[in-house]
Amino acid sequence: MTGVISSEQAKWSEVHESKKLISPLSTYPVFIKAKSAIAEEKSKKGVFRIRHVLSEAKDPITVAAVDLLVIKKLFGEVKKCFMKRHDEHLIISVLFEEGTIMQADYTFGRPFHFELEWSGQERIITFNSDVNRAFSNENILFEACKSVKSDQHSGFTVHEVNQMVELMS
Amino acid sequence: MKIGMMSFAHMHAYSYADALKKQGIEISAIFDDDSSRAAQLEKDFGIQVDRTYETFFSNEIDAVIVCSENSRHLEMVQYAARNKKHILCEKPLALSLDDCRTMINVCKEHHVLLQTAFPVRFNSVICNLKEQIDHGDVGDIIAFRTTNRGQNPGGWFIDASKAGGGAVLDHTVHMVDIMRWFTGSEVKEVQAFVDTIYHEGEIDDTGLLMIEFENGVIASHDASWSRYPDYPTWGDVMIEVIGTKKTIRADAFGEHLSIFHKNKSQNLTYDFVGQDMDYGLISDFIESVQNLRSPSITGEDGMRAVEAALMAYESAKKNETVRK
Repeated sequence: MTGVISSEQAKWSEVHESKKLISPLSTYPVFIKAKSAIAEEKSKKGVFRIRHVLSEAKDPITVAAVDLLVIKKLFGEVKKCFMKRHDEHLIISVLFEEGTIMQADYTFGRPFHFELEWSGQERIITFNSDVNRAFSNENILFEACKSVKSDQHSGFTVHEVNQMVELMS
Repeated sequence: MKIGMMSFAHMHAYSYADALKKQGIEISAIFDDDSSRAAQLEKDFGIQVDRTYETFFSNEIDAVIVCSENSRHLEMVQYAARNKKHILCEKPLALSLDDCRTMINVCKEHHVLLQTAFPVRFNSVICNLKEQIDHGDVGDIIAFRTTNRGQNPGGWFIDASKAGGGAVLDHTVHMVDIMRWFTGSEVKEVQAFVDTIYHEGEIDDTGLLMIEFENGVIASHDASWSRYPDYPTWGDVMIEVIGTKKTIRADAFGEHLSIFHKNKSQNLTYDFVGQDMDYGLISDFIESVQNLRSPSITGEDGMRAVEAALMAYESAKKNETVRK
């Protein structure tokens, strides 16, 4: 029963405790690159925003919770979180202990799209998968993601995800 | 039509004056009691600037445009209304809901129009989006994702006693107004984080808001003065409408030319080539006054937008959801 499941594929109530969930976000080359640029900031006080549109998600809150677990590795513990949701759309606003504030907007059941923004004290970073792409006829970001392998160590346990879902709710 | 300008404290005053000129409307009088600004205005416009309300209202004028510090909107609107002048007032309308109500009531009492200056409603991209929504292209609106980020304007904008609030007040009202306009629904609740990140002062320069409207539409909004002086443009006004049929993203300043400059600290600039929305705002105000019709953007609209910004401050202060 061990192994990893993408958070997009997981229906939370059916995830076995021995499984680990991985965030697709953690495999995006743009996120990995942005993360290293943000890490160079002297202060983490800034605004981090992501826009995540996914063609499918069995349990949207799980997707957001696992993304947040990835992001908190960069910005520290979650101090406060607000969430608003609709069947097809979910928004979370987060205040991290180091002073970063974050907003993430998710839409489900639509063609893939991803945006990332960091407005920091030393740099502004932006990425938009509709704009920053190599080909007009295919989603190269999505293709590039396939080359990055996540292993079980980068995933999160049922307990960790449960705690985050509770915090968000 | 004779227009009087009341204060040039707000930088939009010059743009509005330019829009009047383009429409062949005469600026008949200017009031400004800041002596250095008044001296400059006399050079720029070639007319004597009135330093007192008494001399200003002795001029023959039909309507006024108020572009003072936010804290003086109340006082100027009251003077103008009592002198029977129609009013276009810069946003935010006032610093409190009580002040907004006083302004609305004094204008009703003296039978003059009060229009709030929300030029984004006249941006061609935003107007096009409104048409698509009204036509049913996006289906039912589920959510909005909006931004209004800019550079720190400095001066009185970062003096809380004159501005009443920082980036959250300055840059929330536009997009709340647009979302109200698109949905026909009022803000029901707000959750917000507000902070001072990008400058040394005490006034807020950033805020992330989550909004729920009475009709169930949810929204995220990023309001800030987070853009550095050497950023390619002053800032942005962006809205994404997520509907049951599709999502449409509209960037009010998306139509621009990218220019790379050699040997300049600001080596990339985005030069806007779209339509002048201030021209549309002024044109609409003039038409309202000429036809004595209800303004397309009322004092009530201005008040509702201020209300949402004040709810954001309260939410951030209490660290909880604020409901109307």
